[in-house]
Amino acid sequence: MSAGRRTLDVSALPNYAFGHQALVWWGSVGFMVIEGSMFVIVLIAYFYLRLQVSDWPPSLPNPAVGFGTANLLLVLVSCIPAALAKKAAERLDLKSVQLWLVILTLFGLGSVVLRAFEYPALNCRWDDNAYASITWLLLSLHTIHVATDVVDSGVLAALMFIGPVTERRLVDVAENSFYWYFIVLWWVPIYLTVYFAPRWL
Amino acid sequence: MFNLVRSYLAGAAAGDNPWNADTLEWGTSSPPPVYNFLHVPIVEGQNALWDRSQPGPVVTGIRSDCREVLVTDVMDAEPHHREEFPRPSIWPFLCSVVTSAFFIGSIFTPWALPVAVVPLAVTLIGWFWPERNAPDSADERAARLREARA
Repeated sequence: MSAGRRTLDVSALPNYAFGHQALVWWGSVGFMVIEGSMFVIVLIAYFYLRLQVSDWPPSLPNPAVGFGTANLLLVLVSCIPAALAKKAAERLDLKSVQLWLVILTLFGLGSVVLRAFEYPALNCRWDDNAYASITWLLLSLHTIHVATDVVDSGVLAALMFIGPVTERRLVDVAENSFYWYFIVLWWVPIYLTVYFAPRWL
Repeated sequence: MFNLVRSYLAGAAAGDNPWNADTLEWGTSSPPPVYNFLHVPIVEGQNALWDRSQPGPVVTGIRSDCREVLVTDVMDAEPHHREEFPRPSIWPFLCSVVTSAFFIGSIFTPWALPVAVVPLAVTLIGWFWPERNAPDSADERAARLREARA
């Protein structure tokens, strides 16, 4: 390097970042845009089908709301361990991260178990008619997201115990909570559509 | 086409930045080395090359023994942190093989989905799982975290 050349030495900069500075945050947001679009498309299909008939559900009983409502409460409460895992990750507190990530995974597993009870409570088979098909699709699309994030949380929790744990893996923990919020938030309109559109509309 | 052939066979070779363009891609030599820039150049004004002092200031301190890149602010491009990208791995290839088999299989039977889910999850987790003894001295930092916990 020629003498006198001005340089900017970045070797002292950290090798990780939380929040919107992290590359994985942008990845998460991009994923939310894609998956959110999927939810919107299926909801549009649902209401399009609703407009085609006068009875909704067409010649089928309403879904029973019990398990779906229980699941709504469960995932809303699960935002607490998700938030605590995120906060613990941001202060690089591995012990708390381990605790809250395990609890978050258990909440997610509970949500998947409740979901298994929601399918019979829909009171229709997926191939009964268009209403039944779109209802199953809507519920299943969300179930896939819940199940995927449970696996995510479980793998991250295992990594937190097995190692190697670096700061960047704790950024992943924070982003996992961020994505869990997205899945929980989407359950509100999907829950209302699946269980209350047949009653109110 | 005539121009292409003629220029290839005869005539003077164009030097670096033959039309004095101001954008960064013209800031390297012609023909460019495979790495484009030895050091990341620092932009000093709105017109990157025209406003450049001589010799142009550069970024140093990015590791060259691993795939480390500089991450900057979105708006002001101020250096913020260094991000190390993963080393080459077989897992993305295995993942794409499973995904292709799943898509082709799903043309013929819906059972392709439940069958493919398990190997797909295995390849994705294998892809994510961090390497031990990676050159970023991950173990040192893990040890530091263990101390912080204790």
